Amino acid sequence: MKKILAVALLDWRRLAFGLVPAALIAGLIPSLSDGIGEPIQVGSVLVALFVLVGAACGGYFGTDFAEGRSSFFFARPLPTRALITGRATALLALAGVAFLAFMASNWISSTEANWTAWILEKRHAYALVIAWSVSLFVSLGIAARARDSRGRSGMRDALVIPLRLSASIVAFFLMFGLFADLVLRAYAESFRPIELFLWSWAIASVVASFVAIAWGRTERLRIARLQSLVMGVHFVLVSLVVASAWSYVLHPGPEAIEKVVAWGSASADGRTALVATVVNRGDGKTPVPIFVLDIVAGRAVRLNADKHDGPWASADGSTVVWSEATPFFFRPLWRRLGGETTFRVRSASGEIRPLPMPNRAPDYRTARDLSRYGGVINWVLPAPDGDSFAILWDRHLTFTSRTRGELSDTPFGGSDRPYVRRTALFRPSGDFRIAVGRRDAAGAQSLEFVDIEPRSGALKVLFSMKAENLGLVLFDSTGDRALVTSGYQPGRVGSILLVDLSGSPGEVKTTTLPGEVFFPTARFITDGRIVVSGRSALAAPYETSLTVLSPDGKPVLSIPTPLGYSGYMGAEMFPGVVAMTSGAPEVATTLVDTTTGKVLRQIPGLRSQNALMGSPPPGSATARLLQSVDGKLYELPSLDAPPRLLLPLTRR
Amino acid sequence: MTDESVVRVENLSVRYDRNLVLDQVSINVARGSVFALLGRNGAGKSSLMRCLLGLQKPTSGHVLLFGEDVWRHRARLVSRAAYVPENSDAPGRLRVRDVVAFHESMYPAWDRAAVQARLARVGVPDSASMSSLSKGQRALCTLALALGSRPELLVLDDPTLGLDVVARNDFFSDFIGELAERGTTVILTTHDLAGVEGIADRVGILQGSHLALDEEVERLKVERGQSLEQIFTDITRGPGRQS
Repeated sequence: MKKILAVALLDWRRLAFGLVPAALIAGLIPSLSDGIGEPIQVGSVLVALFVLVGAACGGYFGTDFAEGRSSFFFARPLPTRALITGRATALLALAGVAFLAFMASNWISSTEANWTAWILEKRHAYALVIAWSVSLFVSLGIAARARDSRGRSGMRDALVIPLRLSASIVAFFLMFGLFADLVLRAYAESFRPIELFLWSWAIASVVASFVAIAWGRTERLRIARLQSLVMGVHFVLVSLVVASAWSYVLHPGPEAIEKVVAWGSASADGRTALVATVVNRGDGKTPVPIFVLDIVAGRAVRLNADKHDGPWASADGSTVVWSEATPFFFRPLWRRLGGETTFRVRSASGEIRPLPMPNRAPDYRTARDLSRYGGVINWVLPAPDGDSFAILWDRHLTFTSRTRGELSDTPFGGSDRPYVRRTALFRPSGDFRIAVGRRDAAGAQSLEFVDIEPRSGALKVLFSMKAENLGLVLFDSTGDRALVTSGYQPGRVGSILLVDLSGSPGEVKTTTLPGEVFFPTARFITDGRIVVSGRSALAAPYETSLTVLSPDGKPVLSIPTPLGYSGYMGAEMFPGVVAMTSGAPEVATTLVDTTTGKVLRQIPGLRSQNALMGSPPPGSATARLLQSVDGKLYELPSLDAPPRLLLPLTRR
Repeated sequence: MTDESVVRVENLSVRYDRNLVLDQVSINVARGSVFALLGRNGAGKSSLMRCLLGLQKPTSGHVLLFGEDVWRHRARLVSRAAYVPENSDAPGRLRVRDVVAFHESMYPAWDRAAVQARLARVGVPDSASMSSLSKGQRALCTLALALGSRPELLVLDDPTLGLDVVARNDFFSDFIGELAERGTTVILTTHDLAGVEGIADRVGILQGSHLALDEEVERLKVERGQSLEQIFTDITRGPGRQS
């Protein structure tokens, strides 16, 4: 103990003279900053003070070696552990005194300063320890290498040193790139991995310094080598951990699925349904891996898709486009290796190929690569034939083909004609029909139906209408009719418009569908009829109603539903059978026959996909999917069969 | 090792990168003797001194101090030894009395009165900071501190460097003589061949990484009929260090 205190006293005598006045001055900063109208938090100034104390103490420790004074300690009967403990004791003592001096100065200078407030936080300890460890490591490293590097020369070193340095930099960036990718894609809502990463380097630098001091003693070359050895071993270990974590966390198998959060379209045979999941990896919120679910076989395969770019499926669900989830920092390299784009197409046959990209699309080259919203490709719609694609990117609508390359490129959504895509489809003829929202200079909103000929890019406006407070716009399977919903505002009765686009542009007919409901939703069902639901606007308790209309919009049937206030219309699970889901008091789905108006079945605990969230093809395998409150995904194989659990996978 | 050996160096080699500084050097220093290690600049004297006190790990070979491996048991063994480096190693911002207090905490048998007397004799005020002392004062202060622990072994790395003629003569006549009489073993390196000739019992000369000579001084003078300076010049005029 006597020797430890003797060492601590040395640092105290050398540093207290400078640090205590610095702390006294720092204590004045909060009140001075208040005076000039730029208030600075007391805690923040204290962080800076602790950084100063840590850096000064660590720096002196290292500098003692730089100036040849290490023999002062090692030539005396002073165990190395006493030397290190003594320096650490000095650090704590100086930090304590600096804190007291700071608080005293702050208390005297400010009327608001409060001695009773427990101002010290975890960040102050971090600041002190990290500044000390980094300062010790750096000063020791400089001290050890300064003389050594002067003594080196020669052709061999001229070649070896740059090569070694370059290899180290490349290795570090590879590791850091993987780590950053892991954090961005799996831990965006948790600082834990970043904290662990930083602490591991701080601890490694302390260990490296202590090892270098204990086994290098006064020999600079040995100190430098030991520091490098420890940091090198740490680097290798960190790289292994990061690579393993990157592989494990970002590449989950279907057994890792805990919940299903959403599902999209599936092919007609139900073999390729896209489901977004929560897995037991990462922070539980950031990674939303997408799996391709084979509903028939009950198998799932992860789609290596970037969650910000797709996936997008053709109307029949057979063709899927997505962007490969490649490490952000290596994406340009990946792109070059993988065929000029990270976008992939999976055709009905299961074959995967690069997406034929617009000739002028830059793909991933900008800083937006790192942004939440990914690159410059905004949206892709594959045609059911699996060959053509409509690609919306940076105010262009480009049509490409796997067999014919780029077909046409049309300026779309520029400042002179700002478009917001509402819905679109490839018609059976191969033409492309899109509904777009517009806002003119005066702020008036309108809805336009536009046809675009993919081969030439020729654009033809079919119909334009005023559309305030616009809701969903839906096409039927051919694009001949559209349902335009408005009124998604509490307290306002909505309206639904049927637009008949089957004729020439001059012959477009619109029909306002009857019924005054709040929050209306409408959809086409398999046989061409229309179903509308909403909360009754006539009288309390505003229960959810369901109305069936003929294909031309005439009321056929009004069906009372036992759903209460919180019900909504789900998918058409079987031909003519629509799911209505209630959320309160308990979740349950009711299957309603839209021909007879009868309730066929009630399924407690499960909900259908809300028509507001998506529109699975009527009667498709995806439409028969149900979800429990805790995120389990079920399939209803038939009207009579019990729901079959699909995800999470059950152990077999 | 005989009981009389305080220091035993066995096949000691020191290499810095590709530079072989000491190659298979072996030395025995008997208790109570004064061993002078000579060599030209860069001959490896300081490296050997640092290895003797466990300040540096040899590339190969061993150093036994009082019969034990000094690298492994440094803190315990150096409590019986003292070291005076080529340049004072005390932190410059400290005052002399702080440095004395530090040493007092390190050595149980610290002779405070003797240290203060020596400092007074060489005119070093204890309130002065180490950096304010002249080079000679710093050297004598360091020597006074080294002697304050009453060491059994004193290792001096070119202690007269920077001292004026009077101080150098005082150093050799007083301190070394006194130590020899007390039975303290002394190992020193120096370029002051004339000064060392009168007090050293044995001399070693490093040349070309090797210990080219290890002989008793009196015997050497009788056998060769030359002064130490002439012998040193003859030996060290040859080729330099091997790499």
